[in-house]
Amino acid sequence: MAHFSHAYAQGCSIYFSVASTGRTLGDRLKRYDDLWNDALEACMKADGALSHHHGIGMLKAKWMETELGGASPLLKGLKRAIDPKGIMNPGKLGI
Amino acid sequence: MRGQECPRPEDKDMSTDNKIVKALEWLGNLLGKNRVISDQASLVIYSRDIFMPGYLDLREGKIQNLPAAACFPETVEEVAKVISRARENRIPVIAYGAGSGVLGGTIPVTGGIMLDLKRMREIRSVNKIAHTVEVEAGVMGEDLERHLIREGFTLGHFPSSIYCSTVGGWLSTRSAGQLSAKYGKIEDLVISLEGVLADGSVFHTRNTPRSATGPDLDQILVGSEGTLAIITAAVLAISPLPAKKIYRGFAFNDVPSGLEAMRVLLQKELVPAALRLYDPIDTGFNQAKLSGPDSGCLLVIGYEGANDELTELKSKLGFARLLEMGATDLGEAPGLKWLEHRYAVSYNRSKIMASPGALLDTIEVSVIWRDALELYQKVAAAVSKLGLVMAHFSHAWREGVCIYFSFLVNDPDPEKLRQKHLEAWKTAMEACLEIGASISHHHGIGLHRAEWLKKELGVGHEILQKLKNEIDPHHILNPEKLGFGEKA
Ligand SMILES: Cc1cc2nc3c(=O)[nH]c(=O)nc-3n(C[C@H](O)[C@H](O)[C@H](O)COP(=O)(O)OP(=O)(O)OC[C@H]3O[C@@H](n4cnc5c(N)ncnc54)[C@H](O)[C@@H]3O)c2cc1C
Repeated sequence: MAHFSHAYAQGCSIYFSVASTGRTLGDRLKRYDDLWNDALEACMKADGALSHHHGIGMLKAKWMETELGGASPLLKGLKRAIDPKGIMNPGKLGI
Repeated sequence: MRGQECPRPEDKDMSTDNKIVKALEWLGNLLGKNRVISDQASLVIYSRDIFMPGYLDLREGKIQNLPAAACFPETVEEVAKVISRARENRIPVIAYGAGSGVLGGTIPVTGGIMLDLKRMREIRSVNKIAHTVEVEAGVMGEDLERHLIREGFTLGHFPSSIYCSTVGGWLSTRSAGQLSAKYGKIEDLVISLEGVLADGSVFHTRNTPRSATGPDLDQILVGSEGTLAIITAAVLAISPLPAKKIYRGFAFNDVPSGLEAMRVLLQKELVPAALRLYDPIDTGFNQAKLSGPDSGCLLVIGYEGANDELTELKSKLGFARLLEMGATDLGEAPGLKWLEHRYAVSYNRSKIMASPGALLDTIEVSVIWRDALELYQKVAAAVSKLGLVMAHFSHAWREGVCIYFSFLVNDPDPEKLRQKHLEAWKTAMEACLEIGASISHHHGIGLHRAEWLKKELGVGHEILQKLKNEIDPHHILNPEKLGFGEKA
């Protein structure tokens, strides 16, 4: 199910809630991963943004390259410039 | 400023000469010979913008800072190719919109290639559902606005330079239009950007209204004055064309009472489209006929909107509030007169500049309400020792205001005139730094404000410098602007 929780003159945020089950823990985890994959692939195809307000963290990191549309050298350059050793929260934001 | 007198062939060292000959060749191959110019007479136009020392050079017949060539790409791919080749060959590339910048942002201080974007002039599409326009960077402001009007929309961005500035220039300097209270500055209208990074890679940021996907890269590029990327197109928010425009003039006894009224309107949900307060001298220059010996201060206010009822109601409440706060109603005339002549005043400068021994320049700064009066008084008192100074408060926000100083100085000795000019700037910039105001509200940094910018940003400037070094290690894009000097 979904609600449209934030809206602007140009567009809106879609807030999906999902519930699912599976026989085994393995099934359930797989379903969980598939679900995120399908949803975010669809989002990227439809030119949506990966997140409206929850952020990227680790979960959405692998889509960041697509999200940034070629501008990732700028973000990576900024990270290297101010954190050359990568000690600040490593592995997040896909950088 | 580096740069010498107009270079003669024998003055240049061979390696530079070779680089230039080669550059003309590869540029010609990439874009076609008719989209590259290299004759010195045509290049003079690119040697300066509207920054005062360049103006004075011209008046004194000096030509400095000629680039090696200017070129006219038509697509983002062509821009990418030019940047990549320039990077390989270590030749500077300077983005050029219309050269209306006032701080030396386009001056090719280390030579190089001018990338004139005016052939990227397509208005790609108007999205009437999302209220956006996708427009190329080289489109002139007035052309875009007229196009939008025909579609029933407005960008709501009206800098006085609308006839002589481009969308790319606006984005790169964080420009402000006269109706900023309602529509915001250009950075508030950006939805997404297309362009080329210093490494030659093409990017299109996401066309979405808001997101939480890391730092806002659009906002790093907006205001970067061609030092980090070339912007080739943008998606900008547009608004329905206003049906109703209600303009009026009011008089206040003095600057403090006028400023207080501006703040109250903005903070009490009575935000107009235009809201400008003139100090007594600037009021005189606007030829407003205010009664009384001490002429007081003119406030121009205008409400606009697509919803007639709402616009009328807001203006009624807004005007009533001004009267409650001690304003005198001057009727519609001063408001309508401002609206009609709103672009004209900036062009008066060229008339004054025609008389040798005089110059007129402007300094715009940004300050929170608490400190606005102190900054105004400090700068006005100090600059008035050098010449005539006046100010208006041309853009206002809930948090504070832009003070736009104009100053006129005279000296028959050209060198002394330049010194007075610099002295006025120094006084104003140092007052900002001391009070904690920002040294620029909307004209940007260019060459002129570089040292003061470093002081304003402190460690923030070191971070920007490191970012610059990471993505543009050879300083190909617009060298020496924004204070990006020698590598950190
Ligand atoms: C008469 C007059 C009135 C003015 N009134 C206003 C006003 O009301 N409000 C206001 O904000 N400003 C005003 N200005 C200042 C000026 O018009 C603005 O700074 C404007 O944004 C510059 O646009 P431009 O296209 O002329 O840019 P340019 O002067 O050509 O360039 C400005 C800077 O942006 C860079 N740049 C240009 N295009 C690109 C691009 N596509 N990609 C990357 N970098 C780029 C350049 O390298 C340079 O550093 C006025 C100037 C004049 C002469």
